[in-house]
Amino acid sequence: MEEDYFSLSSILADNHKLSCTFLLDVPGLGYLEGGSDPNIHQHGKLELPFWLAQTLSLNEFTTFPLPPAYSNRVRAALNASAPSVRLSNLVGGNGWWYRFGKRIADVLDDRPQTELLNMLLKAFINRLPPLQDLAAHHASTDASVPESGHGTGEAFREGMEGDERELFGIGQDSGRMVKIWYDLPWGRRPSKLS
Amino acid sequence: MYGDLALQLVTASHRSTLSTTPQLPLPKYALPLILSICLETRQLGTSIASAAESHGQVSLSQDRALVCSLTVQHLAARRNKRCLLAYLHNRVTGIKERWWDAGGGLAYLLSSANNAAVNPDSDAPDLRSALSPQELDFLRGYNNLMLDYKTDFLDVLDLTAGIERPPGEIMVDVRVVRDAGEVVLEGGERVDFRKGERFRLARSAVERLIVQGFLEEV
Repeated sequence: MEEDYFSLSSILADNHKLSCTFLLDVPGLGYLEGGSDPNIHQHGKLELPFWLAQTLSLNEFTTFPLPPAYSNRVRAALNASAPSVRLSNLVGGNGWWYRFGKRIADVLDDRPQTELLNMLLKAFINRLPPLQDLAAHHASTDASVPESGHGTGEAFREGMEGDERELFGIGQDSGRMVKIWYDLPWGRRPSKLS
Repeated sequence: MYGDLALQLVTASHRSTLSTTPQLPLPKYALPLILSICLETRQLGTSIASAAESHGQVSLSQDRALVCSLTVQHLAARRNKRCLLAYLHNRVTGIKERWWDAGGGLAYLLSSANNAAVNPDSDAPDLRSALSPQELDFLRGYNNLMLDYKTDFLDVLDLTAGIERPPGEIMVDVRVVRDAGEVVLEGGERVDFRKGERFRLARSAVERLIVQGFLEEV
């Protein structure tokens, strides 16, 4: 999950919306709201993409609460059973839960930052084995998805967020490539000679 | 909202790179969209400059609201820049990938016969019309650079040859999968490759045709 300037997924992940509260009146900024009011007022609430919210919050023009996708409720659910949490529901259909969480953690202070990062890490560690399991078996047996003990694999598959989806694709591709490699005729050539 | 156009550009580009196997044709260079993003960015620039000028140095350090609104515009401009650069970078990567896939055959890559047969319904019939003039220049330059680099040791190693199958024999049995017409091989002999025919030829002579998918090893 590199934070590359040229990475398209990083750019898209930076577009996740945050609910920000303005700390001051700003005349002429009403276009952000899309409403008829040309100005933004103190304590006005606004959904801002992260790339705006980050700098504005660091400069104390706005503040934002921790988004519900990273709240204590989600944390408790992840602690209970990480694979059964639908991350894709938390950040929108095609979201990047980990990337967005990490970007938010960059803005936070020491303690909440460590807590958030730990939550992300733990969730990832707990979700990776079922993810790999599913990727390895989904390619071969499309009809019968293995039960992973935390509901069906299909439910987990639908709950994957952007990067997990990518990992899943890589896992499937590599399985397919290994199979092709095994089936190559010249791999068996030595046996033919003997 | 500022940045929406740039987001549109990146989303489309991201979608086209999602599935790498099989590789989708490179989408057409999104010139109109890019021009409107540039225009938006220029407008942001003039707006910032004129606002900063009319308010003067003092208010810039004291008027927090002004600074806030300028920051928003500045961020939007920077966001646009990042999106544009990422778009171009992503395309350059794709162009390089296609060059390697074609085994470094520039003429083959740019010939309209190449992609047209495979994707008749894409918005850009072949690679040449999908590229901007600058990208075409890049492809040519990259081609020259690679050619220059690989000729130094071409007698022992062909960089652009495929690596999936290590070369085992000097001669190779091939079947023609797509019509290639009459081709003059390295030894000076002329061979007319028609679909379905089989040949036994020196591997080095037909390596390129195999990489480009005209011939298939049997």
